[in-house]
Amino acid sequence: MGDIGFSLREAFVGMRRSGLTALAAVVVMSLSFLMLGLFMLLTVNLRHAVHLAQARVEIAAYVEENVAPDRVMAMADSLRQIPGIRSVEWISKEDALERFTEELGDDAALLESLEANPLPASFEIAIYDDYKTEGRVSSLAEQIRSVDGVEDVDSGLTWVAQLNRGIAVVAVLDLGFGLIVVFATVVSVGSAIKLALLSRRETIQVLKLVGATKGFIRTPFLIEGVIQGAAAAGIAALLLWGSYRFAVSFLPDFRFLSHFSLVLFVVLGTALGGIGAMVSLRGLLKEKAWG
Amino acid sequence: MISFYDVGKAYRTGTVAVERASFRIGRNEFVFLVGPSGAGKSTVLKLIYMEEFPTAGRVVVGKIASDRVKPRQIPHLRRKLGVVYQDFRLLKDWTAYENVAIALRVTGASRKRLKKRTLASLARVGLVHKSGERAWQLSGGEQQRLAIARAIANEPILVLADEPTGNLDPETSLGIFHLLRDIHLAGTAVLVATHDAEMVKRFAGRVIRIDGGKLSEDI
Ligand SMILES: Nc1ncnc2c1ncn2[C@@H]1O[C@H](COP(=O)(O)OP(=O)(O)OP(=O)(O)O)[C@@H](O)[C@H]1O
Ligand SMILES: [Mg+2]
Repeated sequence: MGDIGFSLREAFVGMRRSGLTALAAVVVMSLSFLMLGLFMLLTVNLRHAVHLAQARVEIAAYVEENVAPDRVMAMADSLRQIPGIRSVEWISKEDALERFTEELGDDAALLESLEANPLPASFEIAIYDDYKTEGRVSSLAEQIRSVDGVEDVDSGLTWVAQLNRGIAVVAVLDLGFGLIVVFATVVSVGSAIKLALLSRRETIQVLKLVGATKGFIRTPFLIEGVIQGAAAAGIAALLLWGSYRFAVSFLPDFRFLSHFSLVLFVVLGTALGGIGAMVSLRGLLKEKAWG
Repeated sequence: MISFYDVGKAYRTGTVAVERASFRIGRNEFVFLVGPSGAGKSTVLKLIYMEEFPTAGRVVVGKIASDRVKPRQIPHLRRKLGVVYQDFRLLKDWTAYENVAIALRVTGASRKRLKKRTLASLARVGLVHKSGERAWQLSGGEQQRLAIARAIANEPILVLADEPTGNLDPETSLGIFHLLRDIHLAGTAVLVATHDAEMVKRFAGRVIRIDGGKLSEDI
């Protein structure tokens, strides 16, 4: 080892000799990295969506018909006592109707045929972020339901739970894709390195005879694998960026991987190239008596 | 420096190439290993640089014994030996310079030493002017000398030369033997395997004979 100039030169000679295989390895690796990257992108955006949805989670507590104003004050007080609740806002039947009318806009005329206001009065209850997990929200909902005068509680959490389940599925897919990518990379780098080894059998033989250590012989091949892994990860990252730009044109809220994940992505690709080379070298250099 | 203790070597094909061979070669000796084709000369050399291992007895080179050597010690053994192979084992599309330099490169020699020793070795065999030529562009005799240059590049304690005049005309062969003799005079032990009995006669010295894998020594 130690002779980096020599190792680098030999690595490039190796790639030139094994030409198409080296190129094919880079292409296969880029594609599999891209697949993994796309899934990572999807995961990141799903997580983001869930995060936004969770930030908006509020609990509505519908109140029985015709409660007296002084009871409303008492109910608000007992709601505020429940730990986890940040604020409580009273929405009277009239407020509710007003909002509904606003929401309907041009269709509000439909409401004019109604004789009485059908909307219930409610409390809009904001909760602290730490309480916005599925379990905690449903236990809060239980406590709210038990407050005297509360008729019904809407925690709006069911679809957050569904998104969360979706994320769990995607995470499993990510893992599956990760494994496939690892496998594809190791196999394609492995076959490129194998060919490079074969094309330089004579050189390796001479190196052994003049007293080269395994490390010295291995280094150019490791460098070759690392270069291929890095090139593939770089190409995949560019394609991923392209896909992101495309997605953003009709989903403006779409996000890209964080700098950290992007760096991790490229580092991992590079490392996988090296590991692929190492795996194929282990078998091929394991000749008897190093002779 | 080299000791063979009742060494036997049977190849996997069943051929017995060496049988009950015992001898020693000391520092700074010049020894011929003479025998007809197929006698086992190359096998004896391979046992010394540990490309092959004995199937009986043991070979000791310096502090390394064939029955206890670890694979990772072999590179270090080979750096102390300079081997001139029967088939040269040069890298045809490398330059003469690179073919010699590689013997130093693998040892992690400094740039200065690498350059100095490579050029000195090329000079020793009269090939400095061919440094930049590819090995395949050299004549048979030049390739032979290039192989010798590589063998002495790392200042080995022992040079093993396997049939170094195999396909050369008598005059060129004589030049090669003179070269090996000079290397010996400069303080290196030399073991030359050859079937060129004529040449051996011209260079008085120790002769080990081998025939059908059996060794005998002239006294
Ligand atoms: N790798 C091998 N596998 C099987 N048999 C071998 C092997 N190498 C050599 N032999 C056999 O061992 C015997 C001795 O071979 P060796 O190469 O040592 O002879 P040699 O004296 O060097 O001959 P030459 O002068 O022709 O080079 C021969 O019969 C040869 O066929
Ligand atoms: Mg021979």
